[in-house]
Amino acid sequence: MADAPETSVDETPRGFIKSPLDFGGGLFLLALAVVGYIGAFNLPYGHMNSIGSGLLPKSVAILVGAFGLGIMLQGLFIEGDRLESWGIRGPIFVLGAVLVFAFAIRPLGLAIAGPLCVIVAAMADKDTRPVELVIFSLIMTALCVGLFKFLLRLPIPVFPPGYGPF
Amino acid sequence: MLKRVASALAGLACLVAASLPAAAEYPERPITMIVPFAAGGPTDIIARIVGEHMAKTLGQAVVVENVAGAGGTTGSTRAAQAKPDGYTIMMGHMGTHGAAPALYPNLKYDPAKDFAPVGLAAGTPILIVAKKDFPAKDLKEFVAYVKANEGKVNEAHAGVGSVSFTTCTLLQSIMGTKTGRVAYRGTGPVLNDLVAGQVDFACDQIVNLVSQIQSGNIKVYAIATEQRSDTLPNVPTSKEAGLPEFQVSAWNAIFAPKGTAPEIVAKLNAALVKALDDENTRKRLLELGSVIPDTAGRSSDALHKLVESEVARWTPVLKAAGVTAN
Amino acid sequence: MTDLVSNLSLGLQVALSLKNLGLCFLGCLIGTLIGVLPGVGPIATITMLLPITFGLDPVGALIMLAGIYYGAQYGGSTTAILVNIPGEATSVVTTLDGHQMAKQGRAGVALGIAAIGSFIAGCVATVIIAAMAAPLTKMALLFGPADYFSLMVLGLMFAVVLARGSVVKAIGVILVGILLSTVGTDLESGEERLTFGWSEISDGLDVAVVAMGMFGFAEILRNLESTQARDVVHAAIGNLLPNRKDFGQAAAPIARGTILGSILGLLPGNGAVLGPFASYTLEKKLAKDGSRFGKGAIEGVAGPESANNAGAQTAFIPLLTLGIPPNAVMALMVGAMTIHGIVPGPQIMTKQPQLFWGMIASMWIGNLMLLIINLPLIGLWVRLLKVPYRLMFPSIVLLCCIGIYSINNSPTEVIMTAGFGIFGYALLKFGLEPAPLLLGFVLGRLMEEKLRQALVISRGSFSTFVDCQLWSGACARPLSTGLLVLSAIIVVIAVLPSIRKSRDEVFVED
Repeated sequence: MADAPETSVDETPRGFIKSPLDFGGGLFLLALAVVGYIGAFNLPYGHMNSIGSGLLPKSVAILVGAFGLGIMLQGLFIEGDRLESWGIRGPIFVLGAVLVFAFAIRPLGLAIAGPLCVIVAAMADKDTRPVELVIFSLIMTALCVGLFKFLLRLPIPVFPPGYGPF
Repeated sequence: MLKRVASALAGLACLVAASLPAAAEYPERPITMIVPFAAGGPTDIIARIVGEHMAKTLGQAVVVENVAGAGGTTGSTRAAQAKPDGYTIMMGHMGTHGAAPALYPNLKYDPAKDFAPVGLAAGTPILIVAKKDFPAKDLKEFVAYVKANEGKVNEAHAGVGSVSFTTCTLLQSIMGTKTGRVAYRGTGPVLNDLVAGQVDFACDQIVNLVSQIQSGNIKVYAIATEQRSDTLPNVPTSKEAGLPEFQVSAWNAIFAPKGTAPEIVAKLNAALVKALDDENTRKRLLELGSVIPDTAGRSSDALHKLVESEVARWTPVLKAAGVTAN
Repeated sequence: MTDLVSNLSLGLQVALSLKNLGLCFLGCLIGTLIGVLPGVGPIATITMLLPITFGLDPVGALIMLAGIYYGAQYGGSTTAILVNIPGEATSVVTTLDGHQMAKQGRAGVALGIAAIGSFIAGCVATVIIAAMAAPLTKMALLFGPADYFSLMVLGLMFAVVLARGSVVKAIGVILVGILLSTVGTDLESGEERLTFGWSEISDGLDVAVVAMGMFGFAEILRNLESTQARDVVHAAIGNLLPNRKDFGQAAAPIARGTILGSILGLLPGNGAVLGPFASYTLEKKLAKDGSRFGKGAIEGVAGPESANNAGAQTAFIPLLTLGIPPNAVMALMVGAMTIHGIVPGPQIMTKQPQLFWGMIASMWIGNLMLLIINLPLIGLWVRLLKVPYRLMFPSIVLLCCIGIYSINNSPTEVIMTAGFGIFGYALLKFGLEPAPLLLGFVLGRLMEEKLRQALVISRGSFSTFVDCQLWSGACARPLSTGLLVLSAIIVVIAVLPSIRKSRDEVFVED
C-alpha cells in the first residue's frame, strides 16, 4: 500500500487516534482474543504433568489480547496510516458466489452450480458483459466437468441426483 | 418463444421421469460405500478389497467415498441419514458401531437402531506391542512390570476414539493400571516414537505392526484373538499368555441406512458373502493379517447381535476411564 | 560404492521400461494438473486414482502415485506465483515474492527459476536417498517429542522474520494462527475446543480452507477494488525464462534451499513443511539488502521452491526404509502398497529391491519429466494472465470452490472458506499479514501436541527441553537445547533492528 499516490498520509491533521490503521488492527486482535477466550472458557487448565485442553487456547488468547492492546496503544500515540475503506460489492458477490456453490452442489450438481457460481461472482465487477458471461460460464463449467469428473475422477455430482447419467 | 421453451421443458421432465428408478432391478447405478476414515487405513483397505469383488457380483461399481472425521462418526452420521435406497452403504467398524456411543454423548445416530446391518466383512486382530528394549520377556512379566512402574511407563495411542486408544483403555482397565497415556495424531507417529523408544507400549491393529515386528524394531507380547495368526505364528494369544479377558478385534462390517428394503440388504449380503468366499479376495485379506468371519458370522442377524454386544461391552469400560469426546 | 552403482542400474532397468516410463509421465502430468488447480490436493486425487492402479503391478502403481505427489508440489507453485493462491502450506512462501514478480511482468522468470530450482533440488535429494537412506533413517528416530517441540519454536521464529512490517504485529498475528490451530477436538481428552457447538469443525480447520480463503479470496476482493491493480500483469511481460543474471542470483539460494529442505524432509510429522519457511528466512537474512524481499526478490522464490521439492523427495526416506509415513500423502502411499500386497517396512529394501530402487530411479526420471512438462507450459501460463480480469476472477472462484469441495466432499468447508475470505480481507484492511498467521496455524497444532507429549513423558518436568549442565557440558537432550538456543538467537536478531528503528521513529517525532 506504499503506492497509494493521492492520499498524502502525513499532511492532514489527526484527531485523538494518531494511527487509525494500527488502532483498528489492535482492536481486531483484541476481539479475536475475546472470542477465543470465550470459546475455551469451560476447558480446564490441567496441571503440569498432564496439561489440560484449555491451557494453550486460553493463554494464547490472553497473549493475542495483550498484543492487540499494545498495537491499539501504539495507534493512539504514534502517527500512522488511515484505515482503508471497505468494499461492499466485491465481498457480497464473490462470497455470495461461494455460498451459492456450497448450497447448490449437492442438490443440483455441478452442471447448475457451476454457471450460477461464475455468474454471481462476476457481478462483483462493474464491467461485466451479460452475453459473454453466460457463454463463458457454460464453457468453464463444461471444462470443469471434463477435468474434475472425467480426468481426475473426483466424486462430484454433475446433475441433480436421479436426474442424469451421473 | 416462451411456449416453445415450456413445451421443451415439459418434454425434458417426462424424459427425466421415465429414467427415474422405477421397478428396475437393483442396482442400476454405482453404489457409494462410505468409509468413515482416511484413505489408506485398515478399514479403507478392507472396504476397497471387498468392494472390488462385490462390484463384480452386483454388476455395478462400488465407489469408496472417504468421509473422515470425529473418530469415524462424521461419515457414519452421513450414512445413517442417507436415502435408504441401497445406493449409499458404509463400512462401519468397532469404533463407529461399538465404542462411539460411550465416547460421543452427542452422537447423532444409534449404531443398533439407525442402520440395516448387511454383514461382517473382516476383522483385524489387536496386538500388545512395546519398544524393543522394554524389560519384560512375556505378557505376565509385562503386566507385572507395568503395575510396578505405573509412574514411569508410558502408553502411546492415536488419539481419543482411535482403535489403539479404545483397545488400550480396555487393557489398562483389565490390568487395573493408570500409566501415562501419550496422544498422537494417527498410528504413524505412534509407531515412529515406539520404534525410537520414546514411549513404552501400545495396542494396535496387526496390519500396522507386522513389518516392524518381523524386523525386530518392536516387541510383541500377545495377540488378542482366540487363535494364533498365520501371519505371526509365534505370537501367543492373550489367553495362552495369561490375560484371557483381553479379547478384542477391530471388526469391520457393512451397514445400510435404516429402512433399506430387505431384498436389497439380502442382495448386498449375498454379494459380500460371495466376495469373502472368493479365493483371491481371501488371499488379499489374509495377507493383511485379517480374520475372515465363518459362514454363521456373516449374516445380517449376526452383525446386529454383534453391534448390540459391542455397545454393551465398551460403554462401561470407556465411561470408567473418564474420557468423552465432545 | 559398487553396490550403489549396481543397485541404481537395477532401478534404472525397472524405471526405464516403457510401461513404467509411461506411468511416471502420466503421474507427473496429473500431478502438475492438480497442483495447478487450487485446492485439489494430492490426497484427494491419489485416493480417487487408487482403484485404477489395482490393475497395475505394484512398482508401476507406486511410480505413478509418487509422480502425482511430487508433480503436485511442482504445480502448486504455479498457482502461487500466477494468482497468489497457495494450494498448500508449503507454497505460501512462494506467493510472497513469486506473485510480486508476476505483477512486475516477471512471471516467466519466477516460474522458470522455480522449475529449475526444483529440478536441481530433486536430483540432489534423489542422490541423497539412494546413497544414504539407511543411515539417515536414524535421524528421524532421534527426534523425540521434546526436540520436536523445540523445532516448532524455531519454526515460529522464522515466521517473525517472514513478516514485512512491524514485529509486534507479526507476533500478534502468529498467535492468532496458533489460536486457530486449537480449534477442534482435543487429541488427548476428546473435548471440543473453540467450536461453539458447531460439530462441522470438530476435526479442526483444514489448512487448504484457511489458506485459500485468506490468500485466494481476499486477494480477489482487494484486486476488485482498485482498477489499477486488477489485471495481474500491468507491466510488460519480459523474459519468459531466467537469464544469466537471474541464475547468478539464484544459484546459491537453490543450493542452500536444497540442503535445508533435504534435512527437514526427513523428520516425521511433516517436517518438510518447515523447509520453504526456513529457506526464506535464511535468504532474507543473508541478502545484502533484505528489504527487497516481499517485493519480488528472485532468491525468495528460488530458495524456498528448492527446499520444498527436496523435502518432498526426502520425505520418502522414512516411508521406504522404516515403513512409517511422515505425512498424510505418505500414509496414503502405505495404503497403496498394502492394497498391492506389499507390507511397507524395514525389509522392503532387501525383499523388494526392484521396487525400492525402481522407485528411486523413477524419482530422478520424474524430475526430468517435470522439467520437460513445465518449461514449455510457462508460455501458456503467462499467456493465461492476459485473460481479462472480469473473466479470470469468476473462474478462480469456481475452481477454488470445486477444489475445496473435493477435499472432503463437504459443502460446509466451502462455506468456511468464504468465511476465511472475509477474515483475510479484514486482515488486509487492518494492515496485518496473513503469511505469518498461516505458519502459526500450521506449526501451532504440532507444537501443542509435542509439548503435551513431552510433558506426559517427563511427568510434568519442563527441564526436559533443556536438560543440560553448563559446567560439565553433559546434555540429555542436546537437540532440543540447541534448537531453543538457535531460536533465541534468531529472535534477538529479528527484534533488535526493529527496536532500534522504532526508537529512531520516536526520536524523529519528538
